[in-house]
Amino acid sequence: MSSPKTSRIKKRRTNAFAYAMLAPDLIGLAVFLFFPIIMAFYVSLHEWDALSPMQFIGIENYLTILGDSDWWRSLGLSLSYSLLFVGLVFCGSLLLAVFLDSLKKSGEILRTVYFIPFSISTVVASMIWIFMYNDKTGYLNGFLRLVGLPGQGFLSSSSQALGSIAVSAAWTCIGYYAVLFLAAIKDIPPSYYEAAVLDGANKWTLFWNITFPLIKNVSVFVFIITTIGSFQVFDQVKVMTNGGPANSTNVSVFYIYRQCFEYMKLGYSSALAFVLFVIIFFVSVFQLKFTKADSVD
Amino acid sequence: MVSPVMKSRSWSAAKAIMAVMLVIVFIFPIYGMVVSSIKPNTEVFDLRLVPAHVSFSGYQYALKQNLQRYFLNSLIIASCVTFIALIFHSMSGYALARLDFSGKRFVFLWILSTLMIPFSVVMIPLFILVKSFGWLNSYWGVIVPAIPHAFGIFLFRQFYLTIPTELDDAATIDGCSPFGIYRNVYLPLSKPITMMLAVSFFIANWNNYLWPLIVNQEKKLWVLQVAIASFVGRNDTPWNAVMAASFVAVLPSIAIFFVLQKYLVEGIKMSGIK
Repeated sequence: MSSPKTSRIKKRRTNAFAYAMLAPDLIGLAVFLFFPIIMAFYVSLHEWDALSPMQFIGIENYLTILGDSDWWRSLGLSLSYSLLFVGLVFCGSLLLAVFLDSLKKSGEILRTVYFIPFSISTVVASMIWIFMYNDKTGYLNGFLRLVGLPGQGFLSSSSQALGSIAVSAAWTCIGYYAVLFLAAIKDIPPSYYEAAVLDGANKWTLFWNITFPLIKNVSVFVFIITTIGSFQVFDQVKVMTNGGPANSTNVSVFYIYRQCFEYMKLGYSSALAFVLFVIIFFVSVFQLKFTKADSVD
Repeated sequence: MVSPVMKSRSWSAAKAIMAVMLVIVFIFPIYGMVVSSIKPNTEVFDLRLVPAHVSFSGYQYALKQNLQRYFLNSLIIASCVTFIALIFHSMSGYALARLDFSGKRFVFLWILSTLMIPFSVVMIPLFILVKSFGWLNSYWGVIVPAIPHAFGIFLFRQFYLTIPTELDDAATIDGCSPFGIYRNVYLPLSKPITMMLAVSFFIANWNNYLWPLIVNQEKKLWVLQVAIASFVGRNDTPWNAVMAASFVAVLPSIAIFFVLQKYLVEGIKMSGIK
């Protein structure tokens, strides 16, 4: 028989055990993620060069941001990059998944092949693509000359560098998102298609009226995750172009990194990071609302 | 008139050509890296698809630059993070999936909310924090902050929720303590999720660049990615060596990926976002 008292003791024991099991992760998340974000805000209200003591200046850093045209330009570049990258990855991986699905059995083997670049690091991928994009002696320009087209500047051209980085970044993750889409497509019962085919639907209408609405959750997930990732691009920029040529790839995170680790403006860069966080947050919320409002069901 | 059989045959031929072209697009950059790594430096940019002369001078140069040390650093860091993170996350996942404790909902949502914090935002305070711990230029500074990760906790919880509770009841009747249930029932059943997260954690940490770049500026503590990135912009590094070092850096992750990719795909399917 369990009296209320013994059940209370039991409950207390479960609590103690549960929190003991959770403790390492909870402490880790608190110290290395939750506390830093509060600290980021605190530092952003100060002027600090990491050497002399912090000086409280209130919201002055945030006011500086408003008039910092270099920052707004870098945010604009991030936005262009985001549109390019998300467009490439979303359409690329969805098309690839539909293609793999139509291949039936051999699609399974090919899936692995397209997935391989995902295991390659951003640094190595950047190295490979610097090599591919090389002005005079890269494989891409070699190929263009072979088919009789003029060579391109790619990374050395201020109008092509951002797009070139987006292509190289998309190359590493299209296979991954294709696997996500493919798993969702395979979950759709074949009977849905059979019924529509009997009604005389063609492949195009099958895709738009059955496949696309039924994989909506994955689409929304990929859309939001790739957008968040695109606003945080850094490694490729640092390795491939270092912000150049002519600042044409000076995206937001790279700008923040420079303010902090090159100009030692820790307070200002924290304020910038905080603004970026708020922007990413609202973009995601907007995407979520926008895609929900459009829901079929 | 085109018969349906002929139509479907030309259709599958078109698909086969398409598939081959896609394979080339996805694999050619990797092939270019491997081929260039075994060319002599004077011929790296000759655009040949098969090297005219095979030379391992790129690998020799990379070894002279102490590549093996950076390889070891990467291996130590990625393995430690993976091992410790898996233990912690499986403990948390078990508590969240199976223990009925006060504040569970709040704790779970709080953990999930940390997923929204982008690394670029906490990078600077994290650097200050790690510096104040005296962890700059040490393995600790790279390993410890990389361990807590809401995604791993979440996936362990999702996995443990699929295990039938009858097993717990049976173990309780046999006199198992709550920890005993975790240790003897749940842990042994965790292989698929553990493998899946081991692959993703190892590859993610092996490939990590920005954080090790900031924390360990001392050369002997560099990880492979930082060392390879340092080749750029230096005119004295031969490109065959850059490609050789890159190939060496890619080998472990591609090998692990090939052996264990079925777990990754299973993990993607069960992550519940479908």
